[in-house]
Parts: sequence; C-alpha cells; structure tokens
Amino acid sequence: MTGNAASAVETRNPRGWGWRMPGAPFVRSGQSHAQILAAWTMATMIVALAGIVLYGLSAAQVIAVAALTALATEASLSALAMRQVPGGLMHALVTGVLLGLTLPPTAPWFVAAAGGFLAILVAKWMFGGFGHHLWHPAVAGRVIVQFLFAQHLSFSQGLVQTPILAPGHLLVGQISAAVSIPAESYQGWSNTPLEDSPRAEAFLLERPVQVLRRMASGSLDVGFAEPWTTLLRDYLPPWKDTVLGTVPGGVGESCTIALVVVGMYLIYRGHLRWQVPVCVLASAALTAAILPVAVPHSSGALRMQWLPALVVEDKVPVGAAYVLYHVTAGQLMLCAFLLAGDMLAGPLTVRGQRYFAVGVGVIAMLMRLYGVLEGECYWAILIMNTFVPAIDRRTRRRPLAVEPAA
Amino acid sequence: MRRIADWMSWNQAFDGGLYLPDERARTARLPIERMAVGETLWVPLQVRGDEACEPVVTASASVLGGQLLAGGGSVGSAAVYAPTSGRLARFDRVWTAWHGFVRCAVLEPDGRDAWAEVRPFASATAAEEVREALPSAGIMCDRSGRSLHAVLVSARSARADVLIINGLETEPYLTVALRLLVERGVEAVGAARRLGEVGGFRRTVLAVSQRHRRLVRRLRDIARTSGVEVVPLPDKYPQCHPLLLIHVLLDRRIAAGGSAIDAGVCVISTATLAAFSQWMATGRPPVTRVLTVAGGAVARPGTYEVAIGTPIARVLERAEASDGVECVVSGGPLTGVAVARSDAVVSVLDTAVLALEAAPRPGPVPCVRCGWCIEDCPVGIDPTSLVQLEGRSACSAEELLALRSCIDCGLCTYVCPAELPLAESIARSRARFSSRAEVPT
Ligand code: SF4
Ligand code: SF4
Repeated sequence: MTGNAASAVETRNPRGWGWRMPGAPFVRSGQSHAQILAAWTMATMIVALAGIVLYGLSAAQVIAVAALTALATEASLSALAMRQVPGGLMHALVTGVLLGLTLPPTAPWFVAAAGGFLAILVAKWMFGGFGHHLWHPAVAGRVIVQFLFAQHLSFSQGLVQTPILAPGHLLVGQISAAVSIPAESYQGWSNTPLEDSPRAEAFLLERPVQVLRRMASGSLDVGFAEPWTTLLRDYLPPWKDTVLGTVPGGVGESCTIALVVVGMYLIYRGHLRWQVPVCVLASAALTAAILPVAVPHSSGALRMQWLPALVVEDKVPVGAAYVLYHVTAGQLMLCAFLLAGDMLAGPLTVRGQRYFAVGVGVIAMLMRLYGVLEGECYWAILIMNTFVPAIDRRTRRRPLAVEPAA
Repeated sequence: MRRIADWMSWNQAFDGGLYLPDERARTARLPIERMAVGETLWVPLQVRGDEACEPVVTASASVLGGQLLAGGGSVGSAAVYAPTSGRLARFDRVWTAWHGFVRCAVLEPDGRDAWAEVRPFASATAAEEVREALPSAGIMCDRSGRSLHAVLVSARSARADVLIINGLETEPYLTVALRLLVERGVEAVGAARRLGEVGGFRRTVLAVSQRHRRLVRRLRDIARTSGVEVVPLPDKYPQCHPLLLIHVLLDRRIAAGGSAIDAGVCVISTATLAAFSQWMATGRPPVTRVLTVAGGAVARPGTYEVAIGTPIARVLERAEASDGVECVVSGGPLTGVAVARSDAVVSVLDTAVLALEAAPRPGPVPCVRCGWCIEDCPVGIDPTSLVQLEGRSACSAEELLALRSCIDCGLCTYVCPAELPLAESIARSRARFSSRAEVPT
C-alpha cells in the first residue's frame, strides 16, 4: 500500500470535488508508448515488405541499411549523451524504415546510410531527442540526402526512367536487369511482354508522378486534339497499377493498397487520426482539381486549363481520372498515411491536425504542379512541421469554465 | 455501440471525456448485502478534514444505536452517531482513508442492536417541520463532508433553484447508486420530491445512466406524478461530476474553481438521498455506508452495507480478497484515494473499497504528443503544457485559470501513453500557485 496523508493534504483541491493523493488514478488505459511504437513499426514493416516484393532485394538493402544506421546512430548517441529514453531505439527503427520507404530502390547503400545517420543526428538529436524535434526525422533525412547525393539519386535528374520488376519476377528479380519500354507501347504492367530481351527482369519506365509534373508544365507532347486522353492512354500506366503499386517509384511510395491497409490498421488502433489522411488526400485532390495545367492549343501555344477535373473528352471524364492519378501516383499516399500522421512532429489537437493535413495536401500539390524540387510531399511535410508550434498555439480547446468574477 | 449512443444523444454530451471499461458485469445484478457488525467498531469522530467533533458521551458508557456520540454542537455541524448499541470502551486514534489519523470512539457492540427512541415523519409532514428537524438528522454529504442541512442552507443563500440527484456512476466498478435506485427506487423518488420541497427548489432532476433502460423506464413510471424529472445521461466519464451535470443538464457554466452552488444548483449523491429517505421513514440517522467492494483481487465482489467504523480489512475479508492485496483504494479508481494503512476503518466519505492489482508502471518518457490528454479532458484545458509549470516559479493568469478549472478527474493521466503523471502535476501546481496568489503582495 502506498501514499501518505501528508501529501494528500498538500495536493488537495481547496474548493472542489475531493482529495487527491499521488497515485490516483489507479487504473490506466493500457495504451503505452511502447504499444504505439510497436504498431507503427509493424505498419512501416508491412509497407516495406510490399516495397521489397515490388522492387526486389535492392529495396530490402535500402531499407535494411537505412534502419540499421538509424539504430546504430541512436544507440551510440544515447550512449554518448548517457541519456536512455525507453522507446528511443524503437523510434529510431521506425525512422530508419520510413526513410528507406522514401528512397528509390536504386539508391546506393551509402545514400541510405547517410540518410539514416543524418535523420537521427540532425533532425532528432540536434533538436533535443525523442519528443522534442520539430521536423519529422525521416523526412528531414530524405530531403538532406536529396541535396547531398543528387547525382546518385535518379529522381533528382529530371527526365529519367526508373525500374519496376516485371510480372513473374516479383521479389526475386533484379531491378538492374531492366529494359526501357517506350511509353506508347507500354500496355500496363501485366499486359506488356518482356519477350524481346530474355534476360530482362524489370521494366524501365517514367514514374507517374514525373509524367504528371511534365503534363502540368506543358512539356509533355500530348497534342492539341485530345490532350487528356493522350496523357492517360500513352503516358500513364493503367490506374489499377498505381493502386497495386506496380509502377516505378520509391520503395514505399507506390503501393497504395498496402499504405491504405496499414493506415486503416493504425486508425483502428487509435494511433492515427482518420482526419489526417482524409484531409491530406482531399485537399490534394481538390487542389489538383482546381489549379490550372498547361495544355497545347491548336495555335501551338500553351493555354492554361483551369478546373482540369471537369474536362470531358469524347464523353469520357478524363479530368476526374487525372485527379485520381494525382492521388495515387506515388508519395502522396505514403505522406498521408504514414508521415503526416506522425504524433511527434504533428500538432496536438484534432483541429490542429486538420489544418496541418490540409496544408500538407495543398503545398504538396502546388509544388508538384509548379515547383521544380523533387519530393514535393516531403517538402510539404517539412514546411508544415515548421508551423506546428504556431498551429498548436492557435488551436487550443476552449475551456469549459469561465473566468471567476473578481 | 456506445459511441453511437453518445452521438445520438449529441445534445446531451460534453466535449472530451471517455467511456471507461465497465467492470460491473459481476456486481451490477447482486443485491445490496448487509454486513453484520464485528466485535469492535472504531467510529471516526471526524467527518471533515478541518473539523473534529467533540465527544458528548464519556468512555465506558453504554450507548444505544443512533445515539449521538460526538459533534452536533452548533446547528448543522457534523455529528457522529453510534452505529449500534453497546459499550463505549474508550477514545482512541484510527486511520481513515481520506483524513489519515483521526480521533475515534471504540465501541463494543452488545449484539442487541437496541436503538434510541426515534420519531419517523408522517408522509404528510410539512416541509417546514422537516427543515427544522434536519440539522439534528446527522446526514452527511459524501465528498464534501458537509451536513445535508449546511448544504441546503448555502443553496438557499445562493438562491439555488435546481436540485440534481446524481444517480450516475461513470467510473469503473462503482454500483452503489445503481443498486440503491434499483432496490429503493420508490423511496428514492419520494425522497427526492421531499428534498426538493424542503430545500425550496423549483426543479428536481434525477440523473441516471441511460444504459440501464429498464431502470430509467421504471423510475419514470414511479416519478410520473411526483414532479421529479428522470433524465437518462450517457455513461461517459466524468459525466458524474457536478460541473458536467450542470453543464449538460442545464447548460450553465461554473466559474473556474467554483462549486455547483455558485451556479445555483444543488447536487446531491444518491447515497445521501438514501440516507435522507431512511431518516424520513424511520427517523434514524445514517450509521452505515453502502460500499462497492470489487477489484481484480476480490473473489466475491458486490455491494455491501457496512456500519461506519468497521475495519476495511474486515470488509475485504468478507469479500474474499486475496491475501497479497497491494493496492486498496477508497472511492472510484480514478478519483479515489489509496488506503495507506491496513488498519483503516470505513468512514462517511468512503463510497467503495477496491482491491486492485497494482498495475506495472513503466517510468515516464517524454510526451509523445499524441494529444489524447487534450482531446479527453472534460473541461477543455491543455494538460501537456500545464505540466511544464512544474519547474517554473510564476504562471500566467490564463494558466492559473486552467489550473483552477481542472476538476481532478484523472483522465489525462489515465490516457497518457507516456505514463506522465499529468493530473498529479496539475494538482500540485494548483496548490502551489493558488496559495501564492492568495498571499497579499
Ligand atoms: S484531471 Fe484535470 S486536466 Fe486532467 S483531464 Fe481531468 S480535468 Fe482535464
Ligand atoms: S497524453 Fe501524454 S503523451 Fe499524449 S500529449 Fe498528453 S502528455 Fe503528451
């Protein structure tokens, strides 16, 4: 039996309901930070697994290197600082895996290692460690390596093709054995034959996000007759592929279905608020639906097409399909379900998280349509992370009690 | 399901709060069981923390049940009565859960249970007559430790116009109000009507849990012509707190740190109502407490009626608590107090005795910013930023307001996944900063 009367007297509420002693409440909800971290670890691992299936062992290497460096950095830093936070290692593991998910499967090992190291050192420990950092460590790590290793990361070089394992070669195939497929002759992941080069195990394609960015800037040759139909038919893979994830992209960026499933799991467990992914996706879709895209005009010049979502060509609502592609093409799903909902780097209240999520969606889409920087969704998260203290200040709950009369 | 119920009754809910695990499955249907008095009773002579009652009998006198033992000096002050007849052996000190060591009268019951001459009220007694007799009734309100008479007097001087009978128990385990309303529903409604008349209230509301639909229907039937409103409310914790009852039922707000009386409302617990009802019917002062005895370490949980002054250990023994009980709590698991000594006795303030299995408490980690404490706080303050006051020497007016408006419900600590002692820290800061604010500068 614990407690003593002296402290009870000291902490009693002079006017109120009763007396309290250190000790009450005597029951707990049973939700502990360890459980939350375990659920998040599991969620990221499932998405990582999907990435490994889609991109083979190179993806496994990227994830493993990023996770192990993050773990090693955390372990050595906490040993150095002689400050052990329970759950610190677990958090580093999640951070490392999340970082791996944002990197392309072709990233060299030292890029993943540097990312894991910098994510923990710069984004986490330089801000005071677990529970004190401003920016999401994994996202910050990814953005830093994007600058440091631009020449090693295919995504930083504009018009490039990146690999995806072909049917029949999932999980065990080598993405280095890839053949380039011209966009026009690509019939979708399951319908395109690889037979002309028997040693090939993967397709080299342009990432859907890249196609959409080029469309927005008007550098895609879609003709003026039916530009949207051409975009969908010739340049983009079938929409089903972007849902299943069988399109090129970052390790964890493409597999929409895995991200939705783990997101639902986290929401079900109460570790992610449903408002976050819903607001990110809805605001991004709305932004893409409204903001103009440069399409060729019959005169040869470009014209700005406002409200692209409403475009109908030949009785087909191609505009709506275009918006759907924006949502599932890559990155956005990962951000909405696993990165924006991070507890430590997001606002505290539901209301704040709604503002945060809307900000992420809108900024990501603006940067995708008109920006030049790669990794637009990651930038959006970092930008909104910076505003979290301000959001927190402005989204306090209204207290129930009123000011006592003087 | 319960969330849907909450959503459907959206007009009757407050923001925040939480549906806690029920833990009542085994006890809700068991009738109240009367526990025989033991060999010795240590009747505490102190009801409030700041006011000991002066004995009016001398040691080694023999007393009758219901005889005044101590207090009752001034009108409406606390009074202590003998739970049964017997010999008053001596005066001593005894431990109570809520006030620590207090003076007590050691009573050795003679087993006859002879009662002093008492006078019940006829059902037609005028309200004035009851009101005049009330100061000597010795009915104590649990929680506040004030006599019912004193509460009614302050309600009258504050022009309170509504009487709320709190039939809700939203904390896990507790079954006292439920059992009292199930078994003594007719009496309870009648007493509520009388109490409304005696106190001169315009409205009398009986708040009950909407989950017990049969009970609600029955009470509504009973109360049809009595003018008592039976209002079912969701079971969301801490709906049972007076402040939230007032907010939800009447849409009135209380100033931070104020009490229900300030908002013109008198909130009375079901146990107090039952005591009033018994006093009206028999003229006997309340000398027992109805206690929920439950918890993971108890083999025979139930609702027991126990004489005041019975050792808590005896109550636990009766309920077949396992031997190595580590954590005994008086009151609900979220707002109760740890029973610090195993020789403690039952006092007026106890509403439950819970033998809980001490939960493993991993050490706190830094706040993981889940925001649950903010989301679930029933009064809309921000516990996670208020803990930062711990190391500071000053606090802003806004923060002081927040500290004062905390109702000590303990939900923030309950939900915090980082195991931070938020509620304790807020209570500490409030004690520190309130006392500082009251020192004239
Ligand atoms: S104890 Fe106070 S701060 Fe914590 S949830 Fe309850 S009212 Fe809010
Ligand atoms: S519940 Fe605990 S961990 Fe969550 S925000 Fe509040 S203090 Fe932080």
